[in-house]
Amino acid sequence: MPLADAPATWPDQPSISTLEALLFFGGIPLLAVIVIALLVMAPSLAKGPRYRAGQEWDSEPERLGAVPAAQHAGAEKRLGASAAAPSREQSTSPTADRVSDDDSSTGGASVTW
Amino acid sequence: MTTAQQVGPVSPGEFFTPDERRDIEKAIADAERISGREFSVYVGPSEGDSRRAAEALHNELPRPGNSILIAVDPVHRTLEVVTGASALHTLTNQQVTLAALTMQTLFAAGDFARGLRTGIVQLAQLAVPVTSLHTDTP
Repeated sequence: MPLADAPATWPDQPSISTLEALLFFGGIPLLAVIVIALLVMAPSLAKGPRYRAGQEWDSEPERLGAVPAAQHAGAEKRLGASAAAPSREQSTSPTADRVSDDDSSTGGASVTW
Repeated sequence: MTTAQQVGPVSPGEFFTPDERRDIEKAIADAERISGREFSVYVGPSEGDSRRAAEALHNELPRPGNSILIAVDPVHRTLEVVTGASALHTLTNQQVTLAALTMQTLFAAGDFARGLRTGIVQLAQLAVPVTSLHTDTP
């Protein structure tokens, strides 16, 4: 008997078939992969699809923070459809460029992505 | 599994989840406390020139001079930040552009809520007037 052999006192286990070996060594890891993948995807599946930039939009705009006085009366206007103040229209020439400092009374920045 | 491309137009009030909306409202409240300026956020489509539309929207606010408006148009992928005349004293256009670029990066990744939160906080921190004791003291 070689020194590195299993002890003679250990009982002989019945050998498993190839199918059983495949199920044991292939099936269990596969099951683990599926469970982990489901756990990762569950939050986004539960939330449902989200709006992506560039898609069509036909609902009410989102307003947060300070809101215009007109909105308190329930008259929400779409951006662009609302009337600018007369002073603003007088001070801005129709051919003014799209720059942030074309109006001396307001500042800011414009970016696109 | 449905992909985002197959989804139709955004449903009313569903652009932000309740949690996201609460977080943005909190960021606005914090920003107003820090800077003393009023913040307003508009997310929706704009018609015509986005800058002109955002300025018109800014002018409709209760106190436009002290207000900072952030108008996001996800359809046309434009972001406009409008600062009032009084806010301009402490918040330069270069500083606003810096915050706008931060928001732009996160919007491009599709994270509108985080982009707005980060941008609002950054704008508020930049809008705090710097006290210079050697010029204020007689």
